[in-house]
Amino acid sequence: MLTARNLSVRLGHRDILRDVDFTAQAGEVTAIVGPNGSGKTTLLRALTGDTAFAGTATIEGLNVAQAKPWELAARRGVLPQFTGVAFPFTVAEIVRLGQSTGVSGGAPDLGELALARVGLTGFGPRAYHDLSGGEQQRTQLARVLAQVWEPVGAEGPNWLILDEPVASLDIAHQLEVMTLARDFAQAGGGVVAVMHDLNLTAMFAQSVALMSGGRIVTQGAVDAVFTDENLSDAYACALRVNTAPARSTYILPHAASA
Amino acid sequence: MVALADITARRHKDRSHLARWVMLGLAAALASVSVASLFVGATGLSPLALIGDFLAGRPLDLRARVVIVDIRLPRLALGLLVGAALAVSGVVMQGLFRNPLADPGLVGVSAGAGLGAIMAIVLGGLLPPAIGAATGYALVPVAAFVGGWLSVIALYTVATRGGHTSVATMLLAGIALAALVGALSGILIYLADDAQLRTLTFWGLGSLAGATWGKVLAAAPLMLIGIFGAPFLARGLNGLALGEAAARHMGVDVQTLKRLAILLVAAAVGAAVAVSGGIGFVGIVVPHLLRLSTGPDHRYLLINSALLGAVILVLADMIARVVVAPAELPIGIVMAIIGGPFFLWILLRRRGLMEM
Repeated sequence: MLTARNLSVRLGHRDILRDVDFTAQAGEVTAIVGPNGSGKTTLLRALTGDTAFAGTATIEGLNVAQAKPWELAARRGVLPQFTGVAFPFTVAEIVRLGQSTGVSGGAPDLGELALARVGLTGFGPRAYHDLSGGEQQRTQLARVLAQVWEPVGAEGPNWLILDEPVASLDIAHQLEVMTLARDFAQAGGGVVAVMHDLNLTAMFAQSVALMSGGRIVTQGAVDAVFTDENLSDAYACALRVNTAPARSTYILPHAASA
Repeated sequence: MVALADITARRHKDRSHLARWVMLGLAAALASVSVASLFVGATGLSPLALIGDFLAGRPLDLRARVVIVDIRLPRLALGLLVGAALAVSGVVMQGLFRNPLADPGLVGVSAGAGLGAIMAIVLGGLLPPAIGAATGYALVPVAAFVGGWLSVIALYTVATRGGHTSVATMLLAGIALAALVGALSGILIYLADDAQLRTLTFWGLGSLAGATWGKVLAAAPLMLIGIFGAPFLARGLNGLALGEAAARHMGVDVQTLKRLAILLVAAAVGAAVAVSGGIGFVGIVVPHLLRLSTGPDHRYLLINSALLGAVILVLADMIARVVVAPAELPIGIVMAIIGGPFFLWILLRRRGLMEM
């Protein structure tokens, strides 16, 4: 389980997060959604220990503010929105960085397996800087996967924490990456993802936290959170929740004049 | 030949195999260059005659023993240590600043170490004689270490914000630092007497001449700490290449890594500058060549850089001893003649570097 209790983050004189309570269960994809500036990424940065916060955050019982970096790295991988790479590494070398620092250990072909999972089979020898933005992002996801390869390790569930994992991907790769996240969760691991695309969220998440103004407005199952009223209030525009013929929920934006 | 074809085939798949072979090759090159350097210099010594004497069990004649044991051997030891220390410091600084242009010589760290050394040379005489005698040769390297250490900290504080280092800020801060340090050094030189001035002038040009076992033993511990300590940071520096946050996510204790990296660079550069003055470009040329051929993985880059740095410096020292024999060029001049154009070539190849 991943939890946040009374989490507050202040930057200068501004409260970015105010008394946030958040829970994510292993075995589920938990999405964090909300408009720009609502505090999604800050909440994620608190959960990964990248920003100082008041309150408590835990991952599988580890206190995020107190645990050693390597203890946390053994339980969770983090995919940032953007990763700048300073030197001319190859794709395989980047993925191996995750493997060599993580807990997955020595399995020699793990890097290739991780690349295959993100649809980059055969990309190993390519120069990272020559890849497109989407390919770079998927390489980073493969690195994170190589770090926490097993959804459930000897100590219990492992976690993937993903900050807008599909932001720079085309639609086929969006589905591929979200399927990967769902498979990881279904195998017993935990996934927390900041999402912008409400339709993908509805398709793949089991639990959603809707944020607005530095607070979590509501958290729960997708159908309970994604209502016309909740979404329209949070995003400050008219949104209508619908169901497609195949019975999966979708959200259609409406222009203000409509 | 099968093995060779195998290696070539694998090279495109995994540069770490190549890196290991390069390591072996460099170690072999280092051994041969070292032996050769013992027989090159103003005094002609025939290696064959010496080996013949040795095999026949005849003792070395006095002249040969003085030249080899008291002059060339300490000089070789100093060249090996300084070359390895400067190259390794280059790699560590570049990893720390996440930038291939961060060279101790370019960004004012050597200048800061130099100020420490000059202070020790000029003001060391003012110390109570008891302390002066106790510190002996070690005073200059230790003072240079402190000067280099303060410079790296100042540079890192100014040029790095939230884990991101701006190249422009780093280079400009280096210029400011070098100017300030130059002014302070100028004041000290103004205070120096004639004998100190002569020491300072030759020291500043960068030279391995005047190497003695005393100097080597005084400076070796700090340089050895840098050379052999750095490979323990390889994993952390690899993580840091993806940024501070990503390194932390992968389990690297980033704060400790940065503190250790700064200490190691200061120790290696400080001691190297103290005994050899301003030898530039080793820290930028060597890592750059190795990254081009075997990639940026610090597990190999640090060790290979130490080897190649030592090879290049001993070679440059041989050139310095031979080209204008029986006089000799300061090795700093030789390295600047090689390194200056090389640095411009890097800039030509990577014009986009400044936007990083």
